[in-house]
Amino acid sequence: VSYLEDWAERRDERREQRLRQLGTRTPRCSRPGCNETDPFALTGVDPEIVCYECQSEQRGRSIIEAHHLAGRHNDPATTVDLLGNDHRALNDLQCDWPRHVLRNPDGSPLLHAAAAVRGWLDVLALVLERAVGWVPEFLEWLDDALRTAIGPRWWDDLSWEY
Amino acid sequence: MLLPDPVEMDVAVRAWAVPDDAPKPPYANTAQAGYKDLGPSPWTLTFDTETTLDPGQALRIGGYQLRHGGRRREEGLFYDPDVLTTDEIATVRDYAAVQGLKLRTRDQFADDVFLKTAWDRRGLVIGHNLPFDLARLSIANAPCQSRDKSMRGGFSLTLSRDVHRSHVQIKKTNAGAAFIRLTIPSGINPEHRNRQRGGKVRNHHGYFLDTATLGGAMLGGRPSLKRLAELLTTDARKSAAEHGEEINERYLDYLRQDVQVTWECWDALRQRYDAYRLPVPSWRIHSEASIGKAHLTKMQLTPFRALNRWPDHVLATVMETYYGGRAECLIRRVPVPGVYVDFTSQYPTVFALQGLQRFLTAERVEWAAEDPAKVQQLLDTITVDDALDPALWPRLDALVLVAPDGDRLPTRGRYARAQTRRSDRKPNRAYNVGVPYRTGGAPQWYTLADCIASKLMTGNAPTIVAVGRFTAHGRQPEITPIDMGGQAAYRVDPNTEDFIRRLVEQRDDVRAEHKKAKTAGDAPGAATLDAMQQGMKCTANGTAYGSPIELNPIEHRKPAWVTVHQPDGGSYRVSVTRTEQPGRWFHPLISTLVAGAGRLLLATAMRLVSELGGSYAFCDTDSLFIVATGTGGVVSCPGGAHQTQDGADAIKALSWTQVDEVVERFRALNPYAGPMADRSILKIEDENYNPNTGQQREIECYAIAAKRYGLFIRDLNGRPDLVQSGDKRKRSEHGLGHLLPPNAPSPDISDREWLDDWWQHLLRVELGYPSEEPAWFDAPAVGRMTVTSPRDVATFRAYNATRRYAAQVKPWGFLSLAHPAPHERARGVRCLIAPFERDPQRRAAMAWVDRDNSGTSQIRTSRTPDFIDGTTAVLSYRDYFEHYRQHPESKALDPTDTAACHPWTRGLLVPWSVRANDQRRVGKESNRLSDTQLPTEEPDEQVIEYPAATRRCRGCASLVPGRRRWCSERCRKRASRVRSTHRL
Repeated sequence: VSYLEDWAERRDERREQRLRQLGTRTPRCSRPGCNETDPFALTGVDPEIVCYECQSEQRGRSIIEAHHLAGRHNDPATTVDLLGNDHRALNDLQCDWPRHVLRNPDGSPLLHAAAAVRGWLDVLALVLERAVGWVPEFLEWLDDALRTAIGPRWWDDLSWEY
Repeated sequence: MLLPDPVEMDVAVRAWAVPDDAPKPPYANTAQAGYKDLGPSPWTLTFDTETTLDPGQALRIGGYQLRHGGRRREEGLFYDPDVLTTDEIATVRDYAAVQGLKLRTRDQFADDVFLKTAWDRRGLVIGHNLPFDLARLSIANAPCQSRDKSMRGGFSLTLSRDVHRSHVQIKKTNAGAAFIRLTIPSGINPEHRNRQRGGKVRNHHGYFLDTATLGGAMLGGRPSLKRLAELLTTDARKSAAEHGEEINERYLDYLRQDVQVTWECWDALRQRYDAYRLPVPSWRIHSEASIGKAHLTKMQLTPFRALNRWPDHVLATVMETYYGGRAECLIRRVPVPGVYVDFTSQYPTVFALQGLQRFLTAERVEWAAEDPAKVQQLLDTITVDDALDPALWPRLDALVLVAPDGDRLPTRGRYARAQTRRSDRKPNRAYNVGVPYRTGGAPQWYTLADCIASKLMTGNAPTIVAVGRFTAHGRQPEITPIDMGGQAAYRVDPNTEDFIRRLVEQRDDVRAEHKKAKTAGDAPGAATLDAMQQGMKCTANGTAYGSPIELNPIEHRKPAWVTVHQPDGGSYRVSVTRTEQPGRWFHPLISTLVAGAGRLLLATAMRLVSELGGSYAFCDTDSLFIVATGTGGVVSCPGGAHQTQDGADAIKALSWTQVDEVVERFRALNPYAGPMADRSILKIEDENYNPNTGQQREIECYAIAAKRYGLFIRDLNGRPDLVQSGDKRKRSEHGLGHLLPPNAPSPDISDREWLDDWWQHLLRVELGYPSEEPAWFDAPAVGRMTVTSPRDVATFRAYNATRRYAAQVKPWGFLSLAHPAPHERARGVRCLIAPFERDPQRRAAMAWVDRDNSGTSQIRTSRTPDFIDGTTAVLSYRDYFEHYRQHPESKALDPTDTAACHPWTRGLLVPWSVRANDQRRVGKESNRLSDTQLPTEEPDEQVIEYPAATRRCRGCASLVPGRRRWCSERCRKRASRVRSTHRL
């Protein structure tokens, strides 16, 4: 199993746990204007679900938070600034790291390096998922809808050059 | 007619018994009312197991597919390293490596795949005959001890060696289904956390789907995986392999194919079920009735008990009137010609005729006493013409208290032993429902329909003491129209039309399509449509009759106290080990009115026949065999009132034209619209017609007892030949259902063709024609037993004691079972078991184990009581045959001596005349015999009895329950004070 497959699988499991905690399979931040649907970035229980950024705003806190990329135990000094919702998602991913890598009780430099790489991989995967992760499914859905509405070779009917 | 002298008999009526710890209605778990279930995640685990061939059926190897949203994420094999040999493990390892499969041990599979998917990922677990496969995975089992009692009587299976992980609980619900769930391990889980934060997510107990159960509910019966794949026309089909064979590449291919077929069956079933658009998820469907109940939920109906708080004595009254269908044999062991007729969808029809949907949709149903004189007047004046008037049927919503005086009323009693000397009585405590003449005894509650039926049968109106009538008030406001089966063409608005009636009409349309497909030569399409219409038939019956009387038995480890209510307002307390919990749609009024009206329909047909001077050979709930010939005349029958030309006793046979007239009279009662509207609800069955010419032919009936009959025609030499309709021969298999096919190894144990030979031989022997005995006649009669309750497992205690868990008989294992001959039983051999084997030749050669003392032997049959070392004589098919052909009709009397029907009794039987001695209250007539398939054993377990208190209080002499000596503490103290005073 590749790292990304393993990552997706672990993330699926944790997503299921989060959905159960939230009490719905289609969670969405209940604040008007906020379209956050990532269960890792949401808190509360259905129907009073709110995302962390909205919650921070409500409580007068900053929505920007400092994220320990390699974990607080490996590198307490190095942080990157992230939006609150993304920070929650990344923190959740860190829970899936091997415990000895996340904690690194002996301060092993190799485990520190592993943690840093894992941190970056998590960031990249998250960026990919949040930025373009929705696109394939959307394209597949759109193709299906066009086949139903227009026909199996809808691009011919629309005079598209394909 | 001169009645036989009444026999005193204890009669039994159904009880309304409320356990002390019964949940308050609405009995849906009130603690979790309003809680929601999020359903399974997109993960699914499909798996199948292959086992050893010993009685333990231990896991050898299994295959699985792990999918996410339908996409295969992982495929693999798992095995038990303690069972497979080193070579076999090497073969499996090589195969897995070549095919790119994951290979795990049983322990790894249980922890890392099964429990991870079922519990951690909240995925759906899919299998065909899933309880069997789950039990193969187990490493220990025990009776369920959950606090909420719903799973009591089931098994708790341990799958993981980690004590903090879930167990799997399984409890049998009906012949084809089981409730399966996970226990909740200690610690906090996401659902728990949700509720801590104020949410309402229901506890998750796992999601399990048995394709055999869902397939059976949607397509009828309990299809095998092969049959299901054929019906659903899946891409992958089940391949053939010999179970227990050497593990090689071919066998492993077969295993993987089974998993793939199971998955494809589930996928096809899911798509079909989704098309129904029902509010109940598919993994909650346990039977056809579940689909019917889901339709009720979709209509947004509120269950009866959630809206109505009837006093317990009213429910006790309703339950007292409840009886099942009427089945009896009137002409025994004499062949008579006739016409076989049956009522179209009898229970749904009487449901529609009486307009019982009003009781389902009402805001409240009220009970009020009515002047008995009114009902008495109705009974005094009613005629058969009135019974054929649809206007009468909606007025049958009354229960009446009858003082029996020569009336023919349904009576539940132990007919088989009523006239037997006490010393000769067998320990058979089974109750049968007959329709004898009732004389004297305490008044008893009946449905008005039963009283009218009695009037039609005897000509005398029963004496009515009291009447209670039920009225539906208002209409539930939320009821919404639904599309039946998800099809807009079958839209039903329960506010304006009858849901059950529409379901029957829909089934008729499907049957018409089935006939078209069959004529067009589309065999797979015809098979699917046939299965669909069977499923719809069961759904209609289940909704109109089954669900309203759903009482789920709950086993208790320790006796539990129940309060048994009586119609007069009294009650008594008694402790029992088995109680009953009403189902969600429990509405006993509907069931008793439906069953009562069904009996009235049958009695009306009997009356029309007797008015023409005719008779019938047997009746069975909705069918009747009317004695008739093409032109009428008399037919020889001992005990008949007429005589043949040579002076023998005879009965009158109607002509076919007269039978047609009887059939036509029921046209007036047709409640249906559309293509069904112009038919009579009583129809002449296809068996009466020559399949080649379509002309009516003379068929004959030979009945031995209720539900034991065969219909036949004569060949040119006069020899009997069972009639055939489609590909089925018309003969009953009641009492033989547990026996395995004795002839050549049958690929399908549900193949019952050997019973055709059985009946063919029986008919020829009984009618005096030479008949060659079937080749298997002296073969050991072997049955199949499935271990479905801890009580069943307990019977294998001696066998299991000396074996490790894998080799022990486990839950849901199935075995071959043979019963020792009487002389072997006399020396202590009670029951022999062996691995399940389809091939009769191999069965005889196997080592059979005495269930109670673990000794092994081979089985043989013998006509003489002899003993041979190393073998045990068991009952043969011949023994069963001899017993079967002489089985007395316990619910009738011999006409010559008016004693209970003898094995040798022939001719026209006489109904019993009964005087009720005592009235006992009993629970569900669940015949545990069919559960355990151990005839002659555990006879006491067939029915729950609620014996009334017989001990009196030492203080006030009032009846006290159980083994108590005092009715109350106050009474004990008062008596104690009195004694002290005397001493002073």
